[in-house]
Amino acid sequence: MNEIYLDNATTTQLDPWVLEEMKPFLLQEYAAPSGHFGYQASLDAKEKLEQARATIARSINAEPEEIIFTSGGTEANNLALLGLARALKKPAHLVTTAIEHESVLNTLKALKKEGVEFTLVGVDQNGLIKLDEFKAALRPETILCSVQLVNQEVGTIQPLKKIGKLCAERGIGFHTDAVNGWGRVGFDVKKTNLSLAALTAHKIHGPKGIGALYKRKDVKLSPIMYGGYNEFELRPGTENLPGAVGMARAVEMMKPEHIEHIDKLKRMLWWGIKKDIPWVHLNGSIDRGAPHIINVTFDYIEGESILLHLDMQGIAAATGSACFSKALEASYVLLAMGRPHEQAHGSMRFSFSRFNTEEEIKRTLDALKGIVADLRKLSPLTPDKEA
Amino acid sequence: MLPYSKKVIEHFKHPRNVGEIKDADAVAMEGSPACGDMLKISLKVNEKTHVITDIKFESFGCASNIATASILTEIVKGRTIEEAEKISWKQAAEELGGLPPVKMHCAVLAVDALRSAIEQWKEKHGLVDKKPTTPDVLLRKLRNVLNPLTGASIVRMQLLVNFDVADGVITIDLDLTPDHKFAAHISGEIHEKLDHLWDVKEVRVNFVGEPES
Ligand SMILES: Cc1ncc(COP(=O)(O)O)c(C=O)c1O
Repeated sequence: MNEIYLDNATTTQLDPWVLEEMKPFLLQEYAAPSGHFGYQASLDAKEKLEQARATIARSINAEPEEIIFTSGGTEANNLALLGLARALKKPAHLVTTAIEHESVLNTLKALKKEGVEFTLVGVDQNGLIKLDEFKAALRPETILCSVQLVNQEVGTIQPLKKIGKLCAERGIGFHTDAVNGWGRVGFDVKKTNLSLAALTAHKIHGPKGIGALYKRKDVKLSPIMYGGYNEFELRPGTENLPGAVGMARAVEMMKPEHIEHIDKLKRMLWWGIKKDIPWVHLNGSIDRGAPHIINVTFDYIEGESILLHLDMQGIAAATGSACFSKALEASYVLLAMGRPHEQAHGSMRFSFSRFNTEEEIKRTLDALKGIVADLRKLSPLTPDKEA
Repeated sequence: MLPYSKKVIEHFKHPRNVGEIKDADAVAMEGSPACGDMLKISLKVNEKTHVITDIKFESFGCASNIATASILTEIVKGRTIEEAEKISWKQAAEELGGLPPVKMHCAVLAVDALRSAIEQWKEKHGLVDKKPTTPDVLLRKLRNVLNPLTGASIVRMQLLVNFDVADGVITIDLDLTPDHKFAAHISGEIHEKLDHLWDVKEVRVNFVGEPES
């Protein structure tokens, strides 16, 4: 594992305390939760599952019965979008943004084959949804808008309250992919007028393979998998109790001082980069973005090369360069924000957690200074090699 | 680590022959930063022996880009241009202990840049018989024009719906709309590849794609 891990928007370290909380349910108390009639161990398990559900519900101001456990954020987004569209059985239209995670965009593409249309709304140079474009996209047959809470690549926080209000006024459902914001950027499903919201545990030091969908009581969904009658008959399969317990513990452990800490690290890295390295741009907003993500373009050089050099020095980060993507395509998020291709290729995302330290940020800055200078010496585009 | 051979990593970490030769005999640039790959090669060639006495490169590009350029400069330094231009991108990739399939285009780019530089040198020294620009030549030149959206060749993606060479005027019809995001970029790349050819007076690029209704 890399010594310095700055890829926390992808996934995070499991908190050892979360693991402690989960262990009994993997080892001794492994019974599957059951309904009202069961042996003691399964009744205990059920009680524990419901406690976890209540904790997670509380974190977003929902009711416990509005939380459906899933295998993660991807499944929660799938269940929200496929489940709602399929429950309606009529021509439908959805609205979303151009910078959503693939688990939203590709689900909508799949729905197209079922006759469900969707419109992608553009974003401005900071990644904020264009509200007039959004309003213009709404149609009489629009059933749902899906807008993420925090963008996975640049950390933009969307104005969900405004969007929720617009949807509520028109009687349109509102889903948010809150996966990269939950626990780090507060939101309240009631104040935001949300019908649905996707959550995941592994981005906030919980285990991988567990997530949840918030579904307001009156919203009707069709299941997308078939089997037993678990999770309000919406999500069959033996419940992942260790996961649920871990997810609840993880969100409980997210404290305001952790947010302050990661926000401080974020600013420290950005101001350090800006001070010491010429020709850099921030993609997104430092003050209005999520506390754990910054995305920086280093002009004249390419991201995969930066990433590999960082890796060789034990530092893990991410890039929006095409050279790093399976499809050889530059980050669609940065392109949607109007960045030219070359700036997308030269972009790096650094994302932080409470386990990162100021010392690590200093070391990363030192490493970056050298790497960027070396790669620029190699680049035919660098305007002034002596700078 | 990424799926790279030891040799790729070695050349990426310590690239050979980096920079620009100030009084170069030929300089060629291939690719573009928009596509994420760009390479500049400069050469010094002995006029009598045709031996490449010096070669340097600069790269805006990923690890494979840097590594293929680096190894290629090592291979051809001290060889004649006639030997150097025979080296294929497959050979370059093999010398590196292989490249992942999605990175093969980096080897193509490096070899293309070297060949362009050599061709330039030969042209300067009157060593190329001026071949007419036939449709075959045209297609070969256009193979390396990529659509930045997909990173794939416009020829391979069948965006090239029609072309014509007549009396030094080349007409190219592309299945893209005039307001395509990269219309200007793609047209620029085509001009870059064709405008300098000795028998070409004019290059007309038309965007004939139907707008999506
Ligand atoms: C915004 C966003 N949505 C959805 C997901 C998918 O979540 P999961 O990995 O839990 O399936 C991710 C993370 O990968 C994400 O960042």
